[in-house]
Amino acid sequence: MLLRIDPASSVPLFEQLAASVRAEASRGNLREGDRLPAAREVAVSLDINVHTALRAYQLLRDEGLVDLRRGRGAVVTDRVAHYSELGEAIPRLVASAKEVGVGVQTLTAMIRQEYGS
Amino acid sequence: MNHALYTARILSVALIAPLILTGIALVWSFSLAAQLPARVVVHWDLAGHPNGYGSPFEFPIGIASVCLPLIAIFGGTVILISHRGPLTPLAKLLAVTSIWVTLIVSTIFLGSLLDAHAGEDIGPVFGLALGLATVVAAAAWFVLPKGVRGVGGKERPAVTPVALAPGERASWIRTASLSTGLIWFIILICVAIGVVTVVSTILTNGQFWWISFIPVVVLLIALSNFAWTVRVDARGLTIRSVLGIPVVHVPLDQVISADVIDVQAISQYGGWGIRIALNGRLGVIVRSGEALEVHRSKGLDVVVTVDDASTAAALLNGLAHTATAPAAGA
Repeated sequence: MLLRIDPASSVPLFEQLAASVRAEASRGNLREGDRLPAAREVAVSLDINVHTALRAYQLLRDEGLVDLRRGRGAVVTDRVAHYSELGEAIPRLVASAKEVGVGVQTLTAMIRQEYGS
Repeated sequence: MNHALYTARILSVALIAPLILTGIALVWSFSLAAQLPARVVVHWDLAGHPNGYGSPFEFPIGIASVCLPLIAIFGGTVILISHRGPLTPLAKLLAVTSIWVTLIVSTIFLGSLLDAHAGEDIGPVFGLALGLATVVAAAAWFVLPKGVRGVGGKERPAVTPVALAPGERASWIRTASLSTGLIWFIILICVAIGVVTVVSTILTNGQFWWISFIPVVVLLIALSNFAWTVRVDARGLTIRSVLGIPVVHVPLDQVISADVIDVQAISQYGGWGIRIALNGRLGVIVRSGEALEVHRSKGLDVVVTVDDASTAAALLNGLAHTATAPAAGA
């Protein structure tokens, strides 16, 4: 699993890390039952605090992408299938937005609006 | 080359010659045993003094029960490899080993019988067996067709390095483990050896109690080779057994480039676990197929069979590039 973070970004590290896992899910690189690498391993590898890695995993648990179980670590749930479906829809959405010159902020605002209604 | 002749050369060294040699040894040892009294020396201690007595027919039975399974294992593997693809140097080595062990085992058993005939000690037989077997095995090497190195898998597309922004950190982590079936098979073998050693220890009144440690050691080595965590990050490539040791590490500054290749576990590496191939690569092998290959400036190149190896190679190349090239625009 490829994880990327940029400490210079204004987005908190744990959110970047969670986004990285999500991206792997939407690219179809994760399957139900796959185990994410241990938080300690991720922390050492990316040179971040282990609590940051754990917080990212908790965020993913809260949205239902993984189960956190003592001794088993973070296990990908069946919801991963929806992520890969969205992973196909989103590039199409972004492509049509770009085509008509709609920027990322406008598109996010439109998505937020849709959720709000 | 004529295909029939090619197959015949492999078959004759790996199976036919060892079987004929075993046959000769069997006939000879039977005829010798028939001339001996019903009770002779059948076992000697390490100093060469007799310490076991039995029927002379234990010798031919010994030849058959040791040689035939070994020929089946070595010769069978060679036939399997050469059936699937070109003959690798490792397959050639296994083929001549088939002859080598047959000769050693037969000569030792026959020599012991001849000694029992003359009533002398067994010492020189070992040296004779080793010398004879090595000379014949070396000759057999040249009977075999020329070996082909680097069994060609399908061409893999070149890896595009992952482009990293300045200051960006990236990590790729994946577990590589043996198939469950293979793990249980190995555990079963260890348990079987365990039972044999415990029974032998009891039967010999604890005289050779230390052999009970053999299955424990074998099992520990096997366990440490079952599953590995493969990690690519700013430190380079780290392959660690899930037990903690052993660890194979290639620091990033030693990485020249990373590729994806296809490997054959048995014909190129002779099996699974940590091993060195005849082409001088250090392999961490859990299966055949997709593998990450890392060329390094120091020490042996490293090959590890892991899924999604192309991402690992892309990241390793990207990291190595970022580390060696000065920051863009600076």
